[in-house]
Amino acid sequence: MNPPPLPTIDPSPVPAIRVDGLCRQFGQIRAVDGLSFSIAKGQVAGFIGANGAGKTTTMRILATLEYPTSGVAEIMGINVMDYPAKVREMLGWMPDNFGTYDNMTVIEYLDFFARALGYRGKERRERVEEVMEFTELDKLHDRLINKLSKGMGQRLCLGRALIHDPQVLILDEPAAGLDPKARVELRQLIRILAQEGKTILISSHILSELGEMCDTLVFINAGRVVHHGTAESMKRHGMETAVVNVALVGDPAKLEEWALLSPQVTFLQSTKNGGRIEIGDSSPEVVSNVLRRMVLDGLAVTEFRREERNLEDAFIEMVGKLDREAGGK
Amino acid sequence: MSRMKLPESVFTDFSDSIGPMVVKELRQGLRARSFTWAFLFVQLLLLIFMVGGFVESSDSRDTAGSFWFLLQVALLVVMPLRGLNALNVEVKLNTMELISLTRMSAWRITVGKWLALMSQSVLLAIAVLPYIVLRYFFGGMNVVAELVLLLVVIGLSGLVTALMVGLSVVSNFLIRCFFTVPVLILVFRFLGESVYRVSRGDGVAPFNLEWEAWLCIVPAAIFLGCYLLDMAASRIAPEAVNYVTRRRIAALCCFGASLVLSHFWAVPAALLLSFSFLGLFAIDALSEHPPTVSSVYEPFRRLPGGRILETFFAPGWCSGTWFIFLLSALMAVAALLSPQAWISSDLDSAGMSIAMILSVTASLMLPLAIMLLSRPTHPEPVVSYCLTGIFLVTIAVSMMPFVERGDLPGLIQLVVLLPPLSIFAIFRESVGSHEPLMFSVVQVLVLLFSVAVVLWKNLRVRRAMAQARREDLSV
Repeated sequence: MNPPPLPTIDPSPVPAIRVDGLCRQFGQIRAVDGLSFSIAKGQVAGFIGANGAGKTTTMRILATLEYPTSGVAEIMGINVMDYPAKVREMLGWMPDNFGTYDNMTVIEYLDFFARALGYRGKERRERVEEVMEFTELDKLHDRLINKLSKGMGQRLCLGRALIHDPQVLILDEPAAGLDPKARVELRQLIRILAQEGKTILISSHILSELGEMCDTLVFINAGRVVHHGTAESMKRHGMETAVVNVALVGDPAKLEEWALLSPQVTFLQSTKNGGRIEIGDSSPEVVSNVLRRMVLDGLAVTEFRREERNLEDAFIEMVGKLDREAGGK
Repeated sequence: MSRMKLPESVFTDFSDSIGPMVVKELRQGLRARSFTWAFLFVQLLLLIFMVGGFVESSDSRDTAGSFWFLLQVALLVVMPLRGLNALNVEVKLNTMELISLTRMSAWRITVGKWLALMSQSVLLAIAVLPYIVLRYFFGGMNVVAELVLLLVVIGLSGLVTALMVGLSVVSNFLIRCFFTVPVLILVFRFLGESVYRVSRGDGVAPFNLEWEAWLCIVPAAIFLGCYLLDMAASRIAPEAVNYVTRRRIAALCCFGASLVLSHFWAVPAALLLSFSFLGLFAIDALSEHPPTVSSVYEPFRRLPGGRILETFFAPGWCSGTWFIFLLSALMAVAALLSPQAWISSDLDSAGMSIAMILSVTASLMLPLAIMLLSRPTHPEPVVSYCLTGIFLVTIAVSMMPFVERGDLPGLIQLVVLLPPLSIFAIFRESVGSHEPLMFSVVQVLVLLFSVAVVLWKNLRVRRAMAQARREDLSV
């Protein structure tokens, strides 16, 4: 398996994607409600939220396909509303479902988009060949596109979005409906693109994959940002206590005795070499202080591993909490 | 890893100078069953007709009727009707968005669709040339006349195809039928007459028109085709792209030219065109939401007198209202300046001409007012506008017999309230000589009501935009 991508973050102050106070109203429904976030150049950002949270609307606004009711959306510092043509030159958009044409082969499809994007002659041929090679569609070049599998269709859609080598990619649910093998292949393609330094905003319901791929996650609910940070920070978001697995050399009962005498520490469960303890404050300073006290008190600690929630658990907990808050109001 | 060798033909089958949309449509269209079957069917039937005709008689005039009937059905009905789904199918398949994200403008997309369909029609026409040669070989054929007819049919096919491509942005089936059926009726009338004449050996069909009429019809047909395609392009273009201003300027020029023609040369065709165009321009100008993107208005604000230009030429139904009033005012001036060429040739007085123009304008404005009051945020305002218009016309048509009878004097008061019916009443002279003033007053009241609704709704749009602007500034 490939190693996780190294983020190549451009230090220039203009973010690749900037959304500020974005609102989009459909009749009485406010799909996006004052959304604000920014993604630095070269970052891979995951865009998550429950169905109807406003992800697709926001992505469509960024892709110049929808107009906001108010607020600002910029790609590479250029306003998407005022200069859609300029933004489109820098942007690759992959929708959650793309229509297929009748009577058109894979290579003709890509050739059409290369022509439409202004490539001529040899350059056009090279771009099409390069994209087909990258997406490994070259073996299927003469296949009619309405006969492609879902996975191959998604590859073709990604290939189309890459024809003009855009700096920013917006991918809406690219893995939806794919089998595990196709998902892994798509993830690998996205990793390569990330290594090339492209800024990618990707929405998905498969959060574990997003956690692996993304430098940052933007979690939205009811059109507003709920959390923006790394996958780790999201896992810890809202956790008031920390649960730690501890292993010792010697008698494991020493850990229970030590916990009884220590403030902020509760012994939860014995294990073969130690036990699980709960620390009353989840902040890294307090957790590290507990470890230091253990060592100072003479416990021979061989393992001190903080238990993490996975992203799905964190997501469900956060959505549940927001729903409860909304219900309370 | 070495690259797999891809077939050369895909990259070289169409030159770079051909538009991408044309290439795509031709690749798809030439493989489409509707084209291949139409092509084979025409060839097969022509072959049967030719062989059958020449076995029975050696005169090619006997086969001319069936030859032209078949060709015209293919070129004027089958091929244009394929355009009826041209843009709508892209919208339904979610592919229009992907195309619009490329460098292709909405205009190039629309014209590409039309050109591809026309290329296939021309291909079909070229494929029947051997049969024309065959008929010439057997004698009794006016070659020049038939070639002119072929050119006219191709030209007409282009116009009908443009209309169908233009209509293809409208998703509503009823609206499509409403505009398609009358066109097809006209096409079949042309077809019937041309087939009859050509089989009599007269050659070019109903073309015994004066040259002044041709002077109106040919440029008008070209203008109309371009206008319809531009109108369709405008509906698929992003909100920030303004196609409306250039179209309105062209419309104003065309309208002015037709009025000048009718004034100086008293060409009735110019007059008829003016009225027809007014209806088309109104459907276009009054069935478009005002854009909420500020960059659309900026070019007007940079120009001296830009505010005035914005009032008439900015996109949206509000400026559309003033634009239609401008055209109506021009029409009224022309009616007063040259009554001999105008409506008063059919009506009693210039006053009646003015009443007529007011009725036409009110007929065009009332659906907008109703639309803004009932469904102001309809995603496809053209559908809402046209359906309202059709509803009003249906009521008018159903009331016509009462007006025709003229034995219900009280009804005339009610009739004039409904502008489409008042047009009919004026034409049928179902009103007395003292009625023009009453007609005019009531139509002015209808117009004032419509303008009040437009201004009120426009104020709300402006307020919403100002609010959004304030929110943007606070961001």
